[in-house]
Order: sequence, then C-alpha cells, then structure tokens
Amino acid sequence: MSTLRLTRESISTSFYKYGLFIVFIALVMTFSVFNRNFLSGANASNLLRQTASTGIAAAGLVFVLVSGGIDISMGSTIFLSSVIVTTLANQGMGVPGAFVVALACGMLVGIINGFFVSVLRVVPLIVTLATLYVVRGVALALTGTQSLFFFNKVADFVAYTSLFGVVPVVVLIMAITLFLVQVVLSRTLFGRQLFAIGNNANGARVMGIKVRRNIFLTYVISGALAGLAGLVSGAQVGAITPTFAEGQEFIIITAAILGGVSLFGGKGSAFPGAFVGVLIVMCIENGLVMAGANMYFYTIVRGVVIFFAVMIDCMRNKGELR
Amino acid sequence: MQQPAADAPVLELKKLNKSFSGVQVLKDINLTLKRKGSVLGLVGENGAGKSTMMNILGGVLQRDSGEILLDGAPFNPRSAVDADQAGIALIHQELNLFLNMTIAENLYLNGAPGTRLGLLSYRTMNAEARKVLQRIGIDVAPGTMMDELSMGIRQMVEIAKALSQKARIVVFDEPTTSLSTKEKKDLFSIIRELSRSGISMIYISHTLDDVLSLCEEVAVIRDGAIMGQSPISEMNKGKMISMMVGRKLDQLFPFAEKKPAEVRLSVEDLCQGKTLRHVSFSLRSGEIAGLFGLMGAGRSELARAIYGVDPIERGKILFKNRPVEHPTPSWWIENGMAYITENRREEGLLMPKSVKENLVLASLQRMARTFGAVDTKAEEKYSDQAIERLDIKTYDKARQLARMLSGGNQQKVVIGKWLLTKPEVFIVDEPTRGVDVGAKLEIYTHLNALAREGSAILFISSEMEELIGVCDRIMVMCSGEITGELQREEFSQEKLLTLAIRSATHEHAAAD
Amino acid sequence: MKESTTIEPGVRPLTPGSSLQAKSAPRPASLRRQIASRAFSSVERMSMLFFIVYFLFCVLFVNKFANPVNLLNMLVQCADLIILACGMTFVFMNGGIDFSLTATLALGSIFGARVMTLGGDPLLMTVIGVALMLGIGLGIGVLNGLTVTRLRMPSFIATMATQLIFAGLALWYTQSATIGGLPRPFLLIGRGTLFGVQLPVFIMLAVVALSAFVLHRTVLGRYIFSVGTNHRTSLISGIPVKKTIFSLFLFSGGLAAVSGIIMTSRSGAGMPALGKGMLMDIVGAVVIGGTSVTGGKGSILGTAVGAALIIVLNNSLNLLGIEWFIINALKGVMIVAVALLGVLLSTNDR
Repeated sequence: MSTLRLTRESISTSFYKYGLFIVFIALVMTFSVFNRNFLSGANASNLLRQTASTGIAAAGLVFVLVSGGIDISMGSTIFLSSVIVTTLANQGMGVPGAFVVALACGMLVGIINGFFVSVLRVVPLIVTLATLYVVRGVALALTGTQSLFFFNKVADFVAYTSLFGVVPVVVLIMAITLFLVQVVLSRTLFGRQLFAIGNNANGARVMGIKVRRNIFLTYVISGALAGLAGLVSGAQVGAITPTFAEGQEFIIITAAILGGVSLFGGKGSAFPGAFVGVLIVMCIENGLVMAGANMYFYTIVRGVVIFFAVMIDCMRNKGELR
Repeated sequence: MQQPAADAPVLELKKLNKSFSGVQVLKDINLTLKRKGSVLGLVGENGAGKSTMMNILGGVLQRDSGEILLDGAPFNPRSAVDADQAGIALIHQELNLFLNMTIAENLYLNGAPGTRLGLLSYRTMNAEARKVLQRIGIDVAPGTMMDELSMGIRQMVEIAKALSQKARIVVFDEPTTSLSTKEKKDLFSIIRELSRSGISMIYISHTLDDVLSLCEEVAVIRDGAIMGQSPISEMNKGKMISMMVGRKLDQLFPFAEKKPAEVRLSVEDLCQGKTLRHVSFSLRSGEIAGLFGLMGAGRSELARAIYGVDPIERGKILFKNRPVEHPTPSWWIENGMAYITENRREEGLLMPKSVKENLVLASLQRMARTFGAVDTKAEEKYSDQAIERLDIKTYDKARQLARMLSGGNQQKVVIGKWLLTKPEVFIVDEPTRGVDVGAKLEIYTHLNALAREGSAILFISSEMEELIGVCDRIMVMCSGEITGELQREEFSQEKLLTLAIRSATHEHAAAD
Repeated sequence: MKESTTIEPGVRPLTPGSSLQAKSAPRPASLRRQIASRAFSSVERMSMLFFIVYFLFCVLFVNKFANPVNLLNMLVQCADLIILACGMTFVFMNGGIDFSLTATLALGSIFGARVMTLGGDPLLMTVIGVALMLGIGLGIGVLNGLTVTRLRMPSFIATMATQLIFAGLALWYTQSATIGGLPRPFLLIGRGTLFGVQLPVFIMLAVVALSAFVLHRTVLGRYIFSVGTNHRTSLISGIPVKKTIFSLFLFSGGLAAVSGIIMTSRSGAGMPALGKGMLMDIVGAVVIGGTSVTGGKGSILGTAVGAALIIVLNNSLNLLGIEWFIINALKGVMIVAVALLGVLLSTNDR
C-alpha cells in the first residue's frame, strides 16, 4: 500500500469499489474475446494515452462533486483552452507558456462559475449550463468558426514525446495531475473540508469552515484542470474543429460517477476512483471501436452506462425527488 | 475590575439578555461556573431558554446585553471559531459530525496536528486521536468511519473533539437522549473523569436523576430567567420540579365543559423501534386529550406513525372501530383526520405561497369540477370562511405570503387549512409554539369550539400549563411509552413532570 | 426544504397582545409606487417589459425585421419553441430539468416517419404515425418519471442519460439519414394554413391554453405548485407527491412529441437530429419567463413571453449579422442574469 491513503470507503461501499474493478476486468475480457489485439501492450498504452484528457478533467470535477456541486461547462472550457493555446503556440509560444495559458484560461472560466455559484448563489446546474454556451461562443468567435491545426513543437512535445522512450508525456501529465489532486483531496485540510461540506454544508458552516470560499475554489480548480485537459486533447487530436469536445462533459461526469464519486457530495476520490471510471469508459469506447461497432451506437452505450452508474449512486445515497 | 484574577470563576454570565423579534428569551441571566472541574447542571422545561443561552456562549448567537467573563476577563465570541479558541466546546443534541469521514478526520477538521507544508499527517493525526480516545476510554481505531459507529460512540467522538480542541469548558445539551443504558453509564464515567482532570462542564438535561448524580451545582431556568443556583446538597428532585414549574399563571385558559361521546380513534400496542413501545390509547369525540412528554419522549413520533408518515412495526390503529390497514395522509384526510405538525415552517405551510393557497391546500380534491378544474368560487368562499372563523389577519389573502405573517397568524392558517377538510379527529402538535399570548388564547378557544362541535382532539404539547388549562385529561409519555394518564381533577404540574421523568428511575419507581 | 431553517427558539413569548395590536396589517402606500413595484416585482413582468421594449426597438431600427414574411416566420418558430418550453416549464416547477426533450423529438420523428412511409391509406397512416409519435413522447416521459420517482435519480442526470440513449438510437437506426416521402395529410399539419396563418400557430395556442389551464386552473396544477414549493408540507397535506412529479414528465414528453409532429411535418421528413441545439432556447425561454430554477414558481404565459423573446432575439441579431455562437453566448449571459434576478428577488421579500 502506498503512503497515500487511498481506501476510505466503508464496508458497504467497498462492495461498489470491488464491483467496479470486476466490471473493468469483465470488460477487458469480453473485448479481448472479440479482438485479440485488445489485450496487446500497444493497445494498453494506447488506452492510457486516450484516457489522459478525460482523466485530467475528471480529476478536476471530483472537487466540485465532492463538495456537492456540478459543473457541466467542462467541454466548452476544454474547447476554449485548446483554441487559445493552439493560436498562441502557432505564433511561437513555448511549452511552459502553453501550460500556463491552458491553466489560466480554464481558471478564468472557473472563477466565473465559482463567483455565480458561491457568491451570488445561483444554482450550479444553471450557471454552468450558461457558461457552457457562453464559453463555446467566445471560443468560436476567436476562431471565426474555422478549424485550427495544432501541429507545432508544443503539440509534438505534449502528444508525441515519450520520456525515456517509454512514458508518454500525456500519461505523465495525467499521472501527476491525479497524484496532486488526490493528495489535495485526502491529505490537506482544504480537501477534507470539501468532504465535510458535501456531507452537510450547514454543519460545516456551524463548525466555522469557510464554505463559500471553499466552494468557489472547487470551481476554479475544475476549470483549471479542464483547461489543462484542453491542451492535452488539442495536442492529441491536432485539428480543433468548431464542435471539438462538444458533449465531453457527459463523458467526464459519467466517468467520475462510475468511479464512485457521488452526485450527492461527500464521497469519492480522483485516484483510483475517477481514474478507474475513466478507464472503464475509455475501455468501452476502445472496445467498441475494435469490435467494429457503429459510431452511433457509442452514444447509446454512453447513455446506458451513465444511467446505470447514476442508478447505483442513487441506490446508495437518497436524495430529494427533483 | 477587568484583571483576570487567580480566584475568579471559570465562567460567569452576568445579566445576559437576548430577544428574538421583540420577544425576550433570556432575562438577566446570571450563572457561575465556580472552579475548574466543576459540573453545573442546568434544568428547565423545553423552551425555557437553555439552548439560546448555550448558543450565545458558543458564539453561534450574539447577546443583546450583559457580560460573559472567562476567568474574570470579558469574553465576546463572534463566531463558533472564537469560542473554540477560547476553549469552549458545545456538544449539541444533534451531533455535528460528518459521517462520511473517519474519527480522526472529524476531530481535526479545522486544523490538524503534525501538518507540514499543508500536508496532513495521518500518522500523527491518528496517533493524537488515539490518545484522546484513550483518555475517554474508548477503544476504537481512529481510522474508523463515523457511519460505522453507534450513536453512543459518536457522542464520545464529539467529546473527544472537544478535548482535542483543548476545551476547558464543555457544554452538553441533552447528551443521553439517544443512548442505551450502557452507553449512558460510559458517558457519565467519562464526565467524572474529565471533571477530575480540571475540565468544567455545563450539563443540560431533563433527566433530573442524572443531574443529581453528576453535578455539583444545579441551576434552574424558567421562562428565560434563572430561578436559582444552588449546590446539589441543597437540592432534590421535588425541589427542582417545583422550581421548574412554580410559575404564576399569567394567562387565562378557556376551559370548556364538553360531553365526550363515542371512541373515534384508538391505537393498540403500537411499536416502532426504540421510539414507540407498546403504545395504546383511545380518543373520544368531543374531548381534548393532552399528550405530554419531554424532548425525545416520542410524542411527535406517535403522531407521525398514526398519520402514516413514518412506518409502524407493529400494532393496530382503529378509526371509528374499523381497523386502518395502511394509513396514509391522503386516506386520513378523506376520512376525516387532521394533523398539525410541530414544524410549521417545514411541514405546515408553503412559506413562499399566499394565505389562500395555503388554506385550500388540503381540501383541493373536494374542489375539483369537470376536467379537474379548481372551483375558484369554492376556493374563495372556503378560504374566506376560514379567515373569518379564525380571525386571520391578512390584508390580501391572495397576495400576502405565509412567511410575511406573524407566528400566530401562520398557525391559524395551518388550523384553517385543516378546518376546511372538516376533520373529526384533530392531532395538534405544539400548536402554540412561537406564537404570542393573544394568539395562543385564540387557538385554545378554537380547539374548544371544535371539541364542542364533536371533534376528537389530541393535543400534544411540552407546555404543562396549557395542557392543564385546556385538556379534559392528559396522557404522559416517556421514552416511547405512555407512563400514565391524569384526569382533570388530578392535574398538577408536579404529577405530570414526575410521570414524564419517570424512566430514569424506572426500576425504582416500580419498586415503590 | 427550500426555506432556509433559521434558529427558531422554542420560546414562549411573553409580550401580550401583539397580534391584537397588529389588527390592521400594513398596506402598500401610493398607487403609483404600487404599480411600479408590481411591474418590477417578478422576473416574468420584467421580461414582458423587456420584450415589448425590445420588439419595438427591432421594429424601428432593425432592417427587414418588421417585414410581414419575417414576422410570420417568427411566429412559426415561436410555435415550436413555445410548445417545447411549456413542457419544460412543468418539469422546472419541481426544480428539475428535462434534457431529453430534443431526443424525444428526434426519436418520434424518425419512427413516426418510418411507419408512415410503410404505405397504405395516407390518412390512416397519418393517424397511426401521429399516435405513434405521441406514444413515443409519452413513453419517454413515463421512463423519465419512473427514474426520478422510483429510482430517485436527479432529473438532470437521468434525462441526460435518456437523451444520449434516445438521440443515439435515432441516429443509429437511420444511420443519420432522413426519411422522406411522408403522406400528404401529415404534411398538412405543419404546412397548412388557416386564415393565412399556419396551422402550427393554432396548435401552439391550443397547447398554451391547455397548459395554462392545467397549471393555473386545475387541482393538478395546484398540486404541482405545492409539491414544487415544499415536498414535506405537500405530503402532510395529503397531496400525492410522487404521482404529481411523475405527471410533470408526462407533460414534457407529450408536448415534445407534439412539437416533434409539427417539425417533422414542416420539414417533410423524419429527421434523426431534429431539434438539435434547441435545448438552450428551451431552457432560456423557461428561465427568462420567470419560472424559478429551484421550483415552485412559474407561469405558462411567462414561458410564452420568454420563448417569444428568444425567437425575436435570434431573429433580430441574425438580421444584424451577428454570428449564431455569439447569439448563443448572449442568451447564456441572459439566462444567468435572469436566474440571478430570481435569487435576488426571492431574498428581498424574505
């Protein structure tokens, strides 16, 4: 066991957790029956690379979900960040600059979300639904609805370089993100207070925890990581079309909930939780591709997966009928 | 003299005053916690002002006037954090713990030992937590999740939290209500242990025997004023009870002679976990039967179980001598029962809706015409009737929102809502809570009128005076059981309280 | 529930007769101030004012806006949006949301078209097709309603899932191809005219009247307001809370189907991506129409005004040469601003 405390679920929820791995293994086995290549090393590394962007964004979303909020604007944030980074990188910006810009423009979206949710107290679903459109609109205005092409040294470094020839940079970025996020969640006071807020916001307030400030920060962090995910996926895909990352928020939310992060707050982890969720989602998509499934079929599968993930979450945590 | 003196009392409240919207809740409260390690009992009826006082001490509420001295130095807590830092810990009746986290995490949510560079050290946290837990003698791993612990252990964790924050003064508010006998014993030995180690405590409770056995001194609070503070040696149960109830009647109760007739509702052997144990009673048409009990006695739970809001494990409910298999609110409303809950804001009213909307809420089914349209004329007529009959003060029933009404008028709207369903049985739970004296009187009069018209009324209250003033008979509950019933000629506050407090010495009482 | 619980001391007030003194409750002062305060007292009224002012502005200053063809065209677009937004209003009344509306449109559209192109008596096939489309809408409503009331899933995520499933199903079944060759009687629904006005406008008026009747005049409507305000008070008052919530999704599904019939008929083909991108306009119409995002408050008339405003905004800004994505962003800003206004107004009179 690592020094990180990864297991904090109670007995009842550990069933869910093991169930998750069982699902994952079952998936892997099913797909490898259909396609011998599925279990190959190349495909495994391919799978990991595919998870990078979603994994990073899902890690950010964990903050919001744990404290009892929701952020459905991430797809647009990813788009905005990749547009800005691509534009600047094409004008010669270097690798460090790209990271700073990606994080900063995601953070900006997060600040807006957080301000409306925590300071002005507008329902998070409506706020982030609106920023979903506003942010995409701004990004489209920047591109003039043209596709951008992200082929330069930044994209080369991020998407096509492997450290020591084995560890792809994208995977490294994801690993570092997951590590840091999990450390913040489980090893800092801020992280623990988020769990308290998600469990009982009023109780947290009575205890003197700065609830509003913490909630504000969750949106800033989720925004920033969506920005980083934008850099990664932009570099990997190479072509930033006007519909880039559209609907990505569904996949991110699905992955997080599938990974045991509760929609009702107070429960979940970035690693292994959300990460396993992302793996499962990507495994399904990857498997569908290899099994030669029809592309429209993916959407249906995504819907079914999110439905059951949420259903299990709702069986464990009873919310209000809304 | 603002110098902290060595021999100054640990805590002193001087002439503390507090009012809420014009109603004085605390009047010139004086209270002294004399020395380190002393345990002060605080007893009083529900609503006497205990919780308000405690919340002021804990920085949750701000006082209007008066002084708080801590070791002789003035103390002005502005928030819960201030009180924490001054070493005052409140243990609320509803524990403030987060069930999704471990014990150690709950203890150190506002700052943890061994934190370096912002990183928590679980090793140090758990070690420290283990020490604290050992100090109060519980043998549970600090890494255990809260939701795996029993209520008793959770209570202990609250105490551990107080200790981990280096509390010097711990205030307990009814700590034993959800504890088993064994857990209670453990709690008391911990309290004694803490006292020996120099931690002062205020122990608020209804269970007078516990107070007598735990505390060095007892203060009795009544109607927001301290009736006296004296050493335990000069106290006994009877004296405490008489101080708690010895209030002069400052209001008249309109008692009306009625003619109780046939049995409308009867309940046989109703059981629900620990909250209701073998409850049986019956209710006749034309009577007002009181149901008295202290906090946590199971009065409201009984009403909720009958009304079908909470499940029943065992027992029978008979309505007009016919068994009710699966009671639900809508079944009761159709068949003529009304239920006014104790929680007006959350369960009685739609606060952001108009007076009219609230009044017709329970009788909408009867106002349906073709295509399910609401008979708006009937709506007008009936809501006007209710407003007139109950004298509800509203300038525009269609536009004035329930939340803009005074407490008394709000309650009258709730009563009006039920009147329109023409109920034959009325269960009213604390109908006069947060209501001013004038409106109280009106509410009693209306209940009398209803009973005279033949309704059966179950009047649940924790105010003895009003029950004595209004009821034909009073049943008393304690720990989920009905412990006795008094007829009108036997009514006395002492007898009521004795029945309500019986359980602590249940075995003894039986032996007597 | 929605009321924040303040610390209410269980206190026995001792000042006598305060209710007797307050015999004459305060009345709003001057008539002018009363009118002014009413005009700005709710989001709905402010939206109405804004709509009138903005409409006049467009008539005067936007080229080609006041053109009769353009106005009529807007009216038809209004019909689609208002019908969908009426359905959404019902779900909003309980603080929920229905993301699956556009998928319902699409699924109904393609299956309806598939059945109608099987051949046979055109009128009969039209009846069967319309019935099938309504059935699909109601069926999705039942499914959403059950997931929310039985499985206790929050509507936003439950309908997000059903949206993916059914939109995916529509695309998968058709492989993204449209299904043309619909029977003539069916085409009349969307294209026919009465007194020079297209039929959908009359359908829209009927839907608005019916929805307004249900929401504002019936017992069920009263239940909906009550449940949306406070589940616990409603339950104690004998209101069937779950059934009421369930019915909301029937309305949203059914009305989505109605809109789907009209749109399919007008476009002349079953379209697997019908209604794509309309979600924002639907939510915008409802929110701008003054329906509270936390439930318990709202009106069909407000939604109609909100939808009209959205259509006028879309049209005028488009005429002014503003790109669609900027228009979307502006609408996003408006939604948040109006939601914020709702929060401010509700804390004001608390």
